[in-house]
Amino acid sequence: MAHNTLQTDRTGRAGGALERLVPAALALGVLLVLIDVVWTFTLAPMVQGAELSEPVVIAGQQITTKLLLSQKIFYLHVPVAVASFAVMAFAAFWAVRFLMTGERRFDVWSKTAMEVTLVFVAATMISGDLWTRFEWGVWWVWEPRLTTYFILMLLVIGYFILRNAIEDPERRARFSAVFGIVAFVDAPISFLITRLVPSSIHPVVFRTDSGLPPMMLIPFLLGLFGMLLVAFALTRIALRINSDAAEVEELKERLEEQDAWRERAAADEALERLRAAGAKLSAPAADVAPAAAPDVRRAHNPEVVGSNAAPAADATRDSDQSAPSSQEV
Amino acid sequence: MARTPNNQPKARCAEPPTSAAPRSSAARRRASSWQQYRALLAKDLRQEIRTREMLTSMVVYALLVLTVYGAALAQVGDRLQVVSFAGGLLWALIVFTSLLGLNRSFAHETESSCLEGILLAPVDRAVIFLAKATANLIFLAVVECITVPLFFLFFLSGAELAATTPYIVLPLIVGTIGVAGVGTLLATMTIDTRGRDVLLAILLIPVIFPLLYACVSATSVAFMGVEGTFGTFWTSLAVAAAYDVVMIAAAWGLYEFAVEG
Amino acid sequence: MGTRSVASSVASETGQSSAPASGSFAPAAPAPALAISARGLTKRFGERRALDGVDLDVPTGAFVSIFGPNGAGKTTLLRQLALLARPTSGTLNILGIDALEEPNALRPRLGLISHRSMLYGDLSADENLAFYSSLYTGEPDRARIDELLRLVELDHRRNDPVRTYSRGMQQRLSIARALVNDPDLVLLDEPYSGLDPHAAELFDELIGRARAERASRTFIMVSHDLDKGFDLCTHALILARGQVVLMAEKAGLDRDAFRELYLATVGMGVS
Repeated sequence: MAHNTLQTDRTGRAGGALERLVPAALALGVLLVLIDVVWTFTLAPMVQGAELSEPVVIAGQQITTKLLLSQKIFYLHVPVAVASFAVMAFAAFWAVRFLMTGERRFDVWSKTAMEVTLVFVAATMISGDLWTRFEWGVWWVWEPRLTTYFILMLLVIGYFILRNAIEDPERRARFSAVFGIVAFVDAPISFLITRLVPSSIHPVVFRTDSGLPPMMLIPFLLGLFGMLLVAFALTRIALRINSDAAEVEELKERLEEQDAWRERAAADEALERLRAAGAKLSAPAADVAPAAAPDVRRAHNPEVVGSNAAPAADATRDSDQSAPSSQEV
Repeated sequence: MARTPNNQPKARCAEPPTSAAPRSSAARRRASSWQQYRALLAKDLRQEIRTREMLTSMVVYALLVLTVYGAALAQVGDRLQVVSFAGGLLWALIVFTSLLGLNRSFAHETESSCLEGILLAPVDRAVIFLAKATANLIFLAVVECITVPLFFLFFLSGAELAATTPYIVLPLIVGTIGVAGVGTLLATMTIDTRGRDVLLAILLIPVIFPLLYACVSATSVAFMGVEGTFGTFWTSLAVAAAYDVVMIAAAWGLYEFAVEG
Repeated sequence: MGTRSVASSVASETGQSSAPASGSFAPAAPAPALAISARGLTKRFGERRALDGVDLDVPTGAFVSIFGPNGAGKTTLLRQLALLARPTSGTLNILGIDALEEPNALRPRLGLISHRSMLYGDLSADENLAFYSSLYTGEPDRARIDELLRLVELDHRRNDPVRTYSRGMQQRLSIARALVNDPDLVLLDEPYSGLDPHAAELFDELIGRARAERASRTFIMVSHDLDKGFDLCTHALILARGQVVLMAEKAGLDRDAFRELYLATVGMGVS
């Protein structure tokens, strides 16, 4: 019966048709992102839509509306932002599922999605930071998008530190699910607040997303779609790896258990003998015919059972004897 | 009938529960959530009044942070300059002090598994959360009442303060509510973990970052009182309040999972 | 045949007598003859099963001692019964109430004594009991608190902070704390750990008083101490690997045979 549970755990994840699509999705995604990047630097027009709230000086450079080249970060970063957030949404969704069902596989999936989120966020942080250095001449700016990413990264890292700090697997799963949900709720608020609350020192980049000309919109959509495909494929691959790892872990546990079962069988035998001896001893003491007792119990007549109390004497699980043999399968 | 031990040989089964009937019906008058909330809160307050552990350590810690600020700002001659980032300094002080307090707030509960004793009772888990968060809020507020004036004394005594300065009370209130609410949930999860003190900081600071950001903004605007910027104050305050509502609702709903499996 | 007549007379008696008491909180629960009835109680996480299909019937008024090797699931079982954790599957009926559906209807009738006292060191005995009492009844039940403090013989120290108590005194107060809501089911989780022999003896006596206070009170105890557990109990339960190995009335058990059986389960080990 343990075997069956495991089976569903695995097949529940590795749904056949979807699984075969993964390499294709990955390839297509990468291709689309590449097209997006190339398009961005060749065909997309220089930007009129980006402007600053006010002229500012960053690291000795006067920055006004001249954010032309750096605007191109938009084509890559926004898709990555959307993709990483989409993956994180799945992490939170599975965290909710875990809290509702208590099934371990949801914990594994949620953790996996968080891992993918971390990869995306970290990659964006690094590329974004290089971009900042190149365009604004500074290594770091507390600009809303970067700030949000930074916080997102800290949240995801915090998630994994929390996981590592808890020994008990059930509690670990529960707490990290709670934190995963909190983090997911927190991240968009962080984005909103850093945008809504103007800081006095840093430029706020206003964009008119709806008014994008096709030459800008198309690469953006390509990039977005491609990035989502990449995220999907990566998540699926990571899920398979993690589920396999979990399965190996459980197989190992079961092997150990099978060793123990042999001892168990011996103990059961001894137990049977003892119980027989015990029954003989207790027969005169309890003014009840022992044979009647189990029948009464099965009849689910609690009043009768409770009043004579003896039937509980044979409450050993009936399945005990058959269990070892079914485990051998 | 009452209290008479039953002489039947099978006494343990046959004994009628009559003997305890009058009392048990009285004892089983169920407490309302409000009464339980009051009992939980009163217990925390009484304990703190008796030991003053949390308050003392938080105030002393705040003093130490102020001392560090003193060294850090020793080379800044211009008081006016300090005013421009006083809001940030004040909030850094509050966040670090809160971390210390939140970590301590469950020390009594875990010392001899008292939290388990509370969970045994028919108390709604959300009530436990609310009571603990309220207690933490009260302690943080008391500490702020001591440290904020000290902050003014140490760093802003010579500076010309804007007329809007008293408005900092609003972000202080909104921010402290948020820190106490979110902090209570996270502190509950970190009490039993390895390296809980650091872990709480690692989890709490990114989670309250948006709140911190908004509160620092509002506080700074109030400190500087520049003509025409006060709209920002209200915007910041509004988003901070929105944060409080969303995050405390989330913490309220999730608390059950932080305390039992 | 003889049993049946006893059973029916008992049933009618309890039915009559407990009717007024039950009216206030539990509709149609006239002190069921089974304090606990569990079917297929399982607590698992992934493939790891802390409890694996435990069926359990505990008659009202019984004192059940749970034995078993480390990790056999004793404490896990107790935590399920204390409603501190939910089973993954199975049904659990305690005192005639579905424990998984209506935990808050059941909680007022449970008490837990563990090796951790669950007392606030900086509060006095009186304040501790008043606090726990008010969680159940809103206003602390003063009469009950006085009664309990006399029962555990701590009346003279009632206003001292619990921190100043010895381990044994704390454990005594812990009994009072667990009885503050006048529970019908009392759970004991390794209550002897950390007690010196004298304190343990006193503890036994107090548990005896708690049993005498109301004979319909049911006790479930987890203990490593085979002798103590066996002496106190009316029923013995052996768990191994999360499964019930034996549940028997003590009257029908030979002590040495039982010990041998217990040692055999210890040999079985746990994963």
